[in-house]
Amino acid sequence: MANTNSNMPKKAPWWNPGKFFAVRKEIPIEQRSYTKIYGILAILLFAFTVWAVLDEVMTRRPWKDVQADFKEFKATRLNLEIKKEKAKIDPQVRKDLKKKLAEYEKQMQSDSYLSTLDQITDVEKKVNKAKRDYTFAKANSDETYYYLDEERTQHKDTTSRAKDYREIEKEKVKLLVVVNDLLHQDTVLKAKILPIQKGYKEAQRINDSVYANVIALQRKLEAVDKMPIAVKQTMLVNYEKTNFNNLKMRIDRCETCHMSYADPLFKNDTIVTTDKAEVKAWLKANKYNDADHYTIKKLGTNKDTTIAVVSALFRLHPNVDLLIKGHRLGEPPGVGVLGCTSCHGGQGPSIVSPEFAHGFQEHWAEPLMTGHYVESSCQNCHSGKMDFEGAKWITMGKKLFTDFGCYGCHNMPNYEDVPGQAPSLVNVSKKLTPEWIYQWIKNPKGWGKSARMPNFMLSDDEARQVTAYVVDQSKGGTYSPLAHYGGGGDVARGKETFFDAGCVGCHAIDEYKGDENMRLKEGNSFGPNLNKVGSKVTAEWMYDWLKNPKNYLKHSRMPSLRLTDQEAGDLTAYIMGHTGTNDEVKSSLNVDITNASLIKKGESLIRSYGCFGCHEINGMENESKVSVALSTFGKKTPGELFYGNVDGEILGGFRKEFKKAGLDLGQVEEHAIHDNQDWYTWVVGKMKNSRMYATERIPQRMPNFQMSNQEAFALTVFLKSQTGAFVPTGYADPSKEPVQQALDKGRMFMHWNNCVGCHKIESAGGYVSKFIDDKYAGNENIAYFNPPYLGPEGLRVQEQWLHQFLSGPFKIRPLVKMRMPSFGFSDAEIGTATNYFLGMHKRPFVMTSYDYPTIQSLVPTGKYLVDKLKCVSCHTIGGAGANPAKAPDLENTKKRLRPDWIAMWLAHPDAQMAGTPMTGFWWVNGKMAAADSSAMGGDPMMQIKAVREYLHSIGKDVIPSSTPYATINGSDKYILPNGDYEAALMRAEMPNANMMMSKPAPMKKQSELNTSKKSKSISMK
Amino acid sequence: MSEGLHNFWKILSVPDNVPIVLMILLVSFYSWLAYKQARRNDRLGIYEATQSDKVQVWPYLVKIEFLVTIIILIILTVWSITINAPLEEAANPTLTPNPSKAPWYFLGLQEMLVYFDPWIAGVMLPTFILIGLILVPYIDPNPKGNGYYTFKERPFAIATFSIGFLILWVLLIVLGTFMRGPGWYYFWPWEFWDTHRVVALTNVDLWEGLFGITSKNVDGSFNLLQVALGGILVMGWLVAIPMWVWKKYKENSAVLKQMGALKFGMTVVLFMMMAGLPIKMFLRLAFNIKYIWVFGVGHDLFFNI
Repeated sequence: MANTNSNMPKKAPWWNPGKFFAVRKEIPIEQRSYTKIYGILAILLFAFTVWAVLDEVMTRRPWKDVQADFKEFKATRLNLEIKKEKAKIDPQVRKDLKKKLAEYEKQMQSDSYLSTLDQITDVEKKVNKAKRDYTFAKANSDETYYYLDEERTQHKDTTSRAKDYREIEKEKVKLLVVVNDLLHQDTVLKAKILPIQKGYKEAQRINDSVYANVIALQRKLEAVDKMPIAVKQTMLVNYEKTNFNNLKMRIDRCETCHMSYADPLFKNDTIVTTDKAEVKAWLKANKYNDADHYTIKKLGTNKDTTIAVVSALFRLHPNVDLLIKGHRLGEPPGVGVLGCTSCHGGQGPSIVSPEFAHGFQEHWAEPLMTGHYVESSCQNCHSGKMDFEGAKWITMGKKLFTDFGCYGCHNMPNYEDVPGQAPSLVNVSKKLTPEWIYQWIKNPKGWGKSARMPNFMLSDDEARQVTAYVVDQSKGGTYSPLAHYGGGGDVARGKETFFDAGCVGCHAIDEYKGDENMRLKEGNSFGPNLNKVGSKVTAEWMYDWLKNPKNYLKHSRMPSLRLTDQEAGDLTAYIMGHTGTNDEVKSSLNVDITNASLIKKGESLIRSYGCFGCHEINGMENESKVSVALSTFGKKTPGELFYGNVDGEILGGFRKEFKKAGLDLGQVEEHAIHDNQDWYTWVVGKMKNSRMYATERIPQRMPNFQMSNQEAFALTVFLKSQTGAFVPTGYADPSKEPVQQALDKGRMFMHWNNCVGCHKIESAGGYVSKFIDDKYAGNENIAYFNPPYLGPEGLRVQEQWLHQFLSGPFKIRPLVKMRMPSFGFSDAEIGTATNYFLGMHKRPFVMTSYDYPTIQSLVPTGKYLVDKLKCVSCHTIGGAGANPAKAPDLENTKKRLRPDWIAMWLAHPDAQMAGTPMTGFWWVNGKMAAADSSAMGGDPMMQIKAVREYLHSIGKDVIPSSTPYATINGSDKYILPNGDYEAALMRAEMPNANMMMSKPAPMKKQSELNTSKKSKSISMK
Repeated sequence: MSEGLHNFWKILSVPDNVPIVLMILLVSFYSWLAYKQARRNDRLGIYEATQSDKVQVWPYLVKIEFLVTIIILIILTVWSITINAPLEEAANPTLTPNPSKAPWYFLGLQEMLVYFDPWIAGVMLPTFILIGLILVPYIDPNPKGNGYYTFKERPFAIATFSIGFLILWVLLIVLGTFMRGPGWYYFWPWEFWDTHRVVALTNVDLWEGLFGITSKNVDGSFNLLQVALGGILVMGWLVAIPMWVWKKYKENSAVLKQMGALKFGMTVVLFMMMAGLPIKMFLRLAFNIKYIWVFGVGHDLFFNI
């Protein structure tokens, strides 16, 4: 207890708290001093407050350093550019300019010049003074006059005031004279030095124009210097919805650090080479002095290839036109302006640290999409698109999703009307034996590596049951062959036919191998691999199938190639010779498959596995899809996914395995990786082994597609895109535009029917070319062998002709051996294709008539030119002319080609189809010029028009036609404005010269597609 | 095991939970200090502090309090600089977090929801807690223990505080924070918080468990026997036992005399309700007892305890 009277105890050292407090306790409370403690705490509080301020303005604003760094870096780059620009100017010119300027400068330093300048200064000083005096006098005069006027009005005596006024006026005039006199002196003096000044200015102007680029760069340099360190942001008005469904603005501040994303100064940002010294030299030459500004990587599996890349922080965004300008980044805030996070994800408003800004933190739902996963964002708005330019993995993922028939079991937007991928089974027992069906069901990939049918992991008994039902249900099938194989056939001839008729466009056989690693239905992997088909079907069936595919399968994608009996026989002999070996399946059918209980069990198995999702099966036409919808699958959290007994080691193994193959799975926030259980590993595991997560209690029915790593990866990119993302109004969802819809539908159509197997259409396709090039390497006419490029089809042919051609194709190009097959397209399908071709060039979706009366006056000139230019050395006219004919017959142009296309084509063939063998007679040295000096006064436009009119005059009035393979059902829904000559004449007008000389409007400009509410046809006037 | 402990460390060190860890330490320390002083006071028999030991609040106490304020400010400043204030994901009405937890100071109440229907755990008991706390100064006539700690002079008060606050409030908060994982399941510190955990939780009503007397008849109406038994038990707990105590001890106990019937009645009802909670918890945890009294009026008004 404290004693108020005790003596003050001795002080204890503060560094020994036990003793210190013990001693302190002895002091009575009233006498204890807190001064020191207060002092220390006050200092601490102050210090920590200072720390808080520093933390706020510095530690938490790392972007300030980044911006300072960027300013310095950009200045370095600009100085480099300035140096380069200066080096471009002729040294002699620079010398002369310098000399001239120096001359003038010398003159301007001469005594006479300087003294004149002094005199001018003196005079101007005097002028100023005189002007001031005059102004005072004038004001004085005005004031006096006012009073004088007042006195007059009031009838007072004005004598003295009037006298004053007169004197002041006199003084005023005198001063004015002085002013004028001085001004005159000034003018005279200035005139003396004017020539020198003028000359100097002119010399400077010339200097500036020569150095214009340098000066512009120097201005930029000044701007960099003045650039404030400040947060930069893009505002996406009404861009997103909160979880409570309210529209809200999104703010992206990415450009606060990524300042160079649209700055062309940073375009040369990579070098790929095997030489390390070269990389070093490149870095030095481009002033990459700071190691933060570049990274050196090894490229892919080739360990020798070194690649230096400028760091992502200070580099130009790839494909700026499409990805930045096309998405309106950097435009002032407004509806429709996209930001960075729209595609890349991440936490837009955060600039506290890279981790936060990129969203790699707990609870941020949309972290940065790393690696190829950024591609999945395309799908948010372009959901109907099939090919994404520059986005390989989402394109492949989407095609694989289609080609594996995933939509057969999973509901998916845009796939509502797509028929099942696999063949109908209603007639299957007429084609296949139960034994074959049994072993196929057991293990499809065991039968052929390229099999797309997945393995359902059925037990022997289950496979027997399914076989029993499949065979049983096809008893109702009505198939009977129309054509009968008489035996025989020449194998060697069959092999030729297989190639020349175009079977190789869709089927893999022998040396024409398909892609087993990426089982896309494209090119010759489209149809089944035929290497073992001889042990699968009978020759009798094969013959009829080749002759009449639609006889066995009403909706088959296999077209008719209009084979003669001999060709079909040869082909049958050739194909059926491929029997392969068959040792994968050990067990065999061995049961009576007509047993009713077996059939019933098979039926229930088929119902539970949902085979009808892909196959047409008798009695199961109206079943619904057996598995979950995937429309928001990409947003699932690990907690929503079931991992069964799969441990992190296996899942982590996938991550490593894929990384090794150069396929980096998406980055996950570190906290989220519990035992590697994240979205990416789950999906990859499921793709590689679909039953992986099954447990005793939770069986899984998804069959095993046994995917390659590439396939699995492509599908994860596509599945990641299934976010059910909300696209706000005003942020155009291009897939809703009619043109875009036509394109989307068309691309699906071209993929679905493998048109791209033979034809190059947009950027992809024409896969047979490699076989043709191999087979006919060295042939002088090889340029004529490939099926035509269809990119400009919508500009080229008349819609009526196209309709007729697609209904029943016929030969156009004499040297193309492959036949355009008879697909038996319906009107609606032909419409899809037509609209696609038209949509590519933003032409209206109507069938137009191109009939117009020939302009007879031009015909003779046209004939003269056709003869002179020797068109018939490649073309024929009515069968006569080039022998062998190489190019299409000119008699057919009237009904086949659009008049404006003929003009464009003649003017500059290479612009329309790069690499065409057609000669551009009117294209000389990069511009349009007369092909003949005399005709039509040497006017190239008129010459072209004349040739066209000649072709029109000799044109046949009917569209040639082979016997259409399928009768066209339904009435023709297009309106043909026959006899509308006025409109037709306008159509026959020439397109303007610019159009003729330029490439067709590129498809890339999405922004144009989005904004054109009504697609306009081009150059009708 | 190690994965579980790692998980537990993560839970302990979440910025959200660190203050609760501190709370455990502080509450333990001050309780220990108070008990220690109470025991010393009881041993020495010193209940009345001497005058000389007392000093004025102003400036001697205020001075120290101000000092502590500065210390707290410093701690808060450093704390806020060094951690990033935790934010969870944006609220989403279609996706509730698992486990869904109340603010930390309500986790004791949330824990009660495991044992009682919401109207009891969420409405009635909190109301009684508030009313009870307000009433304490009025129903406690004991002037002893002002300015010092003692067991001997306030055994009932200290016991009630220790059970009611330290155990039923603080301990349940700690339990709710660190032991209740996804699905509000109980996880030991060495167990990983598995979202997919399955726990066998099946309950039976008291009378059905004891004698096979179901709470409801086959036709869905209330079993009157059960209603009567449950009513007797609950009313016995809340009314009969207190009345018996009152009758038996009111003559002999100075405390009871001092309180009078009204104060005693209020105190004892509050106390019995408080004591009922751990009993119900015990019944649930040990015997899977769901309700001890199932009763209702019409289709909407239920009275399940």
